[in-house]
Amino acid sequence: MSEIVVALAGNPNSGKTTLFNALTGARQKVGNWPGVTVEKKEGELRTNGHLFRIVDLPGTYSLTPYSLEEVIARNFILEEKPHVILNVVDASNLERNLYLTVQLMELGRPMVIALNMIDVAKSRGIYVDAENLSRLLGVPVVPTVGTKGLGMEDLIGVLIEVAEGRRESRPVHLYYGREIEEALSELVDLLEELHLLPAYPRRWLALKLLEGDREVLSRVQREEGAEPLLSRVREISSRLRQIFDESPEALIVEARYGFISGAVREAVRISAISRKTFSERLDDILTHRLLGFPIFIGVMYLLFYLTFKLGAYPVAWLEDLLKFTEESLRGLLPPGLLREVLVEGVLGGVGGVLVYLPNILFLFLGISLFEDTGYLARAAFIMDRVMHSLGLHGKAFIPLLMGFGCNVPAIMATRTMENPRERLLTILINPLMSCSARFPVYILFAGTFFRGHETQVVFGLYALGIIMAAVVARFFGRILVKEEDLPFVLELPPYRLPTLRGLFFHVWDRTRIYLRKMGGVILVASVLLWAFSAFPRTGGRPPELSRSYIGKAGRVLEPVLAPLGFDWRMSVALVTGFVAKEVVVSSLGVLYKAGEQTTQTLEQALQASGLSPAAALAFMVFVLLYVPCVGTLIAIWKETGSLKYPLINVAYQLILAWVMAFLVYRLGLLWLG
Amino acid sequence: MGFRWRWRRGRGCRRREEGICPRMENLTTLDELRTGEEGLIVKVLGNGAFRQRLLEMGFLPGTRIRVIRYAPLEDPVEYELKGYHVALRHEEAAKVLVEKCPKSS
Ligand SMILES: Nc1nc2c(ncn2[C@@H]2O[C@H](COP(=O)(O)OP(=O)(O)O)[C@@H](O)[C@H]2O)c(=O)[nH]1
Repeated sequence: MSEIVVALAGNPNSGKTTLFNALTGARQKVGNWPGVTVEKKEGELRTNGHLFRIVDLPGTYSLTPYSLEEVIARNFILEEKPHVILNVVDASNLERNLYLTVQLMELGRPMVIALNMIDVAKSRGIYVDAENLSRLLGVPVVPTVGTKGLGMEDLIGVLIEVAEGRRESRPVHLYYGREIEEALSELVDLLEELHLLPAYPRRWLALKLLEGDREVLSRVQREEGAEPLLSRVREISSRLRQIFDESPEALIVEARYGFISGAVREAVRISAISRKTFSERLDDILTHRLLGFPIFIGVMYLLFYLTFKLGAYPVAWLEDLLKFTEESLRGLLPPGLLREVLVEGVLGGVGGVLVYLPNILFLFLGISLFEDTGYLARAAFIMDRVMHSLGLHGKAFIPLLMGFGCNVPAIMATRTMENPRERLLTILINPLMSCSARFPVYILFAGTFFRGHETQVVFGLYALGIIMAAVVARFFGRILVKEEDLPFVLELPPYRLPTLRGLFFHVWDRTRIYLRKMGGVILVASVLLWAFSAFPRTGGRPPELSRSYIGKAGRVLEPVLAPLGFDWRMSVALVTGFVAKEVVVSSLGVLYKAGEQTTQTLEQALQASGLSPAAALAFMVFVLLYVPCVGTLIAIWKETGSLKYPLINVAYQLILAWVMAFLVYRLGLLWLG
Repeated sequence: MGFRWRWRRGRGCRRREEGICPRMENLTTLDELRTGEEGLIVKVLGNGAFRQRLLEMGFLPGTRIRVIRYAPLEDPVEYELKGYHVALRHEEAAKVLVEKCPKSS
């Protein structure tokens, strides 16, 4: 059985993911494209004797070298030479979707078009004649409705026929006008004569040279004997510029759109019902000048309510289950190392993260709903002004907001952002959003040292996190390699009714990634951290926390943290907080109450220890800003595909935390005494 | 400087009552258009990736564009062109020259 490789390409929102899921079902592999933050999905499809490997290329509007996704998409097609390109086209938005199509047609591979969303097109009075379009483009066109699975059999049949060469798929050559065509044929001849980059389609290379495509140019420059070609390209471009008073690349775009509007005129019939669509009416309310914001805030509130309030019930069940398992293990196993590893290391660490799975499921469900209905784009539309002042995209808002819940799913939610640079920035500042695990620390210290002013203190801490995020975003925005000055173009696709199947796939996809990525590494990390707190043994028994390795590390750090007003116990607690921030509180409990009479609460113990309010405030600031927990670091590592970024996070956050806590402590001593 | 005004055949802001809108009388930038107003794109200024991307999204000379709405905080602005909706920020819309079509009553 031979494998047929299919490259799936299309605009964002064209229904590419839906078709991919409909074709491959659950047989999918998710990873990253080598060395970059862009997600790569592959799926398999077996039908009567054929094995398809379907590679989902990033959704793009074009194939310029200006964005990472576009370069990935075109390089995959040029280098891996898939047997067929499957181009998903939104029939209700044909003109702009065909712009990518005509560029794909130039890559010299057989192609099949899935004319998707014909139901939407029909409801708007747009009728596309697939046969006619197919004839005009020279490529088979199969009408589909991805959400209902309509046209899938036809599509698979046509893919097989094309892959086996039983059906013609010879994309037509666009005619770019006399001057450009002359230039192209001259460049094609030159390329042939000089034997440059013979593996690539020549006409495509010639076009790219005329467009001044920097990636292709630099590749040609690296070849030997390319100089005559390059100087000819420069001559031709400047001549074209003189004739048309316009850059060659703009002329090429115009010619493509010219061809497209010709094709659309011939193949599309519009029975003009130009009444407002349902989607437009809905937008009149949801993005209304006055109502837009309140509705948006309400929706966000609902998201959090769903996540934390409704999620709390299953979380409680899981906690009970965890407790039950723990007790059973204690009952079944004799005291000793094995029991400790299982109970304190594995259950304590992995279980502690796993119980939040229901919260995370609800969060993912909410995000998937936003994405599938199209509200996500509206949220970005509404919030862009605010986010823009931080140098971020409107779409960064939701991941940042989710960070207040838990940074791990929040970092995964940055997948909705297309621009890799903005996505990276959003990931890097996400841990500064004060997650819910830090809250117990605030409650403890604010309740003990700032009784009656807890709200102000806690609010201030959240605000500080946001302000720091803004500062850091601006700072990293300068440093991070600035991409080409791409415009902010946010497509606002029509609202759509999400399908259960689509939602299920989205939630399942994210959860699976979450479990797989988190599971293994968290297991290792929690067992390791447990070991640091359980060794060295004293007479075969676990040591006191202060004598363990982790305690020793805390003591070593004490001089570093002393200028902030922290004692050794606080230092130890901070080190243990690396597992998860709420552990800081339980460690403090163990450390402060050790040896005291047991009736004393942790609050009383803290007060009795003679800690100053200034130091308490500094401690909260430090907990807010210092290293992300293991889970978050792993999420950053996996999502960026590089260990560099979690290390950057650790470094900058430690520095930031120390400096801010120092300032707070010193100023606090002056004001609070 | 001289940019050549380019027009597509028979692609005026045709409105049922008014015929074709007069040329070159209401030249302005896209960010100056108010909600509900329409224009014909004349030229995208700027260069490099910025201009290329806008052209590829269909911001071509002669294309009709309509302001759907301003975001609640005024920026960005939603436009409709070539049958789809897209939002641009003011600073970007300011680089798109348009010929404003007369308001239909
Ligand atoms: N009515 C209709 N909706 C569709 C069709 N295909 C996809 N959708 C919906 O369009 C939205 C975007 O689809 P998705 O596959 O996520 O698009 P992608 O961005 O190209 O991957 C989802 O809400 C889908 O349920 C279709 O053929 N008809």
